[in-house]
Amino acid sequence: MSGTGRKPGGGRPSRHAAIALVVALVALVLPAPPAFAHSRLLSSTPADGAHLATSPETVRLSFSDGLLEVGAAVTVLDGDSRPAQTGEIRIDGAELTLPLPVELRDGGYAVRWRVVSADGHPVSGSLTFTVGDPTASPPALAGGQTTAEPSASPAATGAPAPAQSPPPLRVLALGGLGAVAGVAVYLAVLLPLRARRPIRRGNH
Amino acid sequence: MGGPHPTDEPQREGRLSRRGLLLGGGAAAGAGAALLIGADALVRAARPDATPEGEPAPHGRDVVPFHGPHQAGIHTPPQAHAKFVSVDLAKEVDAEGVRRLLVLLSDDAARLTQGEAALADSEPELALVPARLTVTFGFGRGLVERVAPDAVPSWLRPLPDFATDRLRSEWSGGDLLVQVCADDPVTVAHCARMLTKDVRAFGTVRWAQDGFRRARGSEAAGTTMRNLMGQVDGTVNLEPGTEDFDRLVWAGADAPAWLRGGTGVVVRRIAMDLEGWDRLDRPGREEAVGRRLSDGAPLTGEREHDEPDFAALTPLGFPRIAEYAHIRRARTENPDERIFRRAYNYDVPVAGTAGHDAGLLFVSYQADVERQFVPIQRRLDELDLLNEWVSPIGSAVFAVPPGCEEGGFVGEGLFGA
Repeated sequence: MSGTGRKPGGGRPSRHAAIALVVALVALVLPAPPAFAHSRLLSSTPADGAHLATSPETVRLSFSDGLLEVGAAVTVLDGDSRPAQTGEIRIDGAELTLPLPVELRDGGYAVRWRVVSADGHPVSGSLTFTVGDPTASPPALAGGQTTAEPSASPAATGAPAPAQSPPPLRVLALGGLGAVAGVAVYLAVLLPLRARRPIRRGNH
Repeated sequence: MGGPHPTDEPQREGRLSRRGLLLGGGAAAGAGAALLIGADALVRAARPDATPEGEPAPHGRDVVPFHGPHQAGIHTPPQAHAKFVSVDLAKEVDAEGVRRLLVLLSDDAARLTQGEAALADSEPELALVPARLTVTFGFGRGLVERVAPDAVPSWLRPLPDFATDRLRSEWSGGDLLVQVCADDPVTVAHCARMLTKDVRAFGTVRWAQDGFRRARGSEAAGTTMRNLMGQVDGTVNLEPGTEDFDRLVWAGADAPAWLRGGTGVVVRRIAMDLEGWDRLDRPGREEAVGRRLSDGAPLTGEREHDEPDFAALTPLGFPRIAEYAHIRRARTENPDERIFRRAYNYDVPVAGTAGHDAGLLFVSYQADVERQFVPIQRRLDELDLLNEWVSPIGSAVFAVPPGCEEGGFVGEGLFGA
């Protein structure tokens, strides 16, 4: 082992373990990343769960913030999960409009939507409504409003910072050897000299 | 010996001796230790090539051959630092002038890449650390037309206009490309200076762009680079030494004879809006590309090189890797529409509060720019969520001739064409 601390795994295990523990605790305690301003769905026409007497001409979605022109997708599914014919999505600021050029037959419908917020974050969700028959059941969809789940961030998975490295083995060995040699020289040369000194003094 | 009286002279002498014995011994030990450690450090310092135990050997003497069937710096594992210099040839430089320039450049490049001083090297010591230096020359249409107007490859011209381009002339075009790569930025600076000195009598520097990757040794060799947006960049890439690479990168029988064994290079400066990227959270960033930031694995996979599953759906029924995701848009079903990427990051200091001037020096090599690069870029231009944060601000295309043998020069084939 060179002991230069290049490998985070080297060095004093107990100290590393302590640092790792602190890093892990801090990662656990830290709040989620700062709240980013994604668009949220504020309202829709038809509203979620609405019972309409006649087919709507459009599906309109209103969001809290502006949307990118890129990446918007809206599908209207009938009770058998078959997509209804739809026109081209129009985006105007925070408003999305989807024309329904063909009248919807009586039944239950689900709308699934995905948009990209002005900050680039995709948001998706779904809603249901009925036309004519309020007891008709819409197709099953995973509901609610979702944004993508984050993968592990480096803060949670990263290795702990390497601890201060102990002096290299080479320096310790050389130091020890030098100390022993120094004492040996002292004993062999200086001591006899010193032992003679008082005698010399006594002679004066 | 000596009496109990404290003021007795011989007695004090004796007590001093005992303390002195300990002090002296300690001092001797310390002096011995210091002497040995110091001597060791001195001896090591006096041997510049000596490597401390456990340290990797310096790689400044590593050399990449200059001569060979292909120019180095393409299939060479990417060095940490790069400089791309584009030259406008002076009006009066004719075919003979181009030949003189290429002879000069090839000669100096051959020396410098092998760790020898250039012919008129003003700082020869700087040449002694080649650090895998490579010099690669590319010819713009303007150069080829002066020498062999009938042998210009059809694709050797500016790329078609793309809607997302914000090209600036100061980062675009040029008659001659000098690509200098090495693992040491001092080596790159010196080599580029020597070669631009050679150019001085023949033309002017149109643009020069510096790029960098991770320092050599800070990651295992072969690790896919990350760009400054933090993305693993270049996972799907042709691999040098494979049949696909040889077929799609090196120009073959359908290229003009002088270019066979060479290739085409596209150099594009792609500016990143890092401030805007900062406002996008992690999941949003991953969705834009279709890969995880942590390891570059596709959103449908576990490891970086897993094949993305473009059919996978979210619970709601939308594609897991969205229609606008970069990796879906860059993907092609046509195996011939592939390129070899060898990009570098750039980050230019900006004073004041203007933010960052950073991005990617996108560099790709392909035998036919029109057939291989353009279709990919067209798809990305049509739709790619990443376009919200990146815009090409420079673009240049060059034909890269094959390598030369010792005594020859790069581009010599052009003169018989």
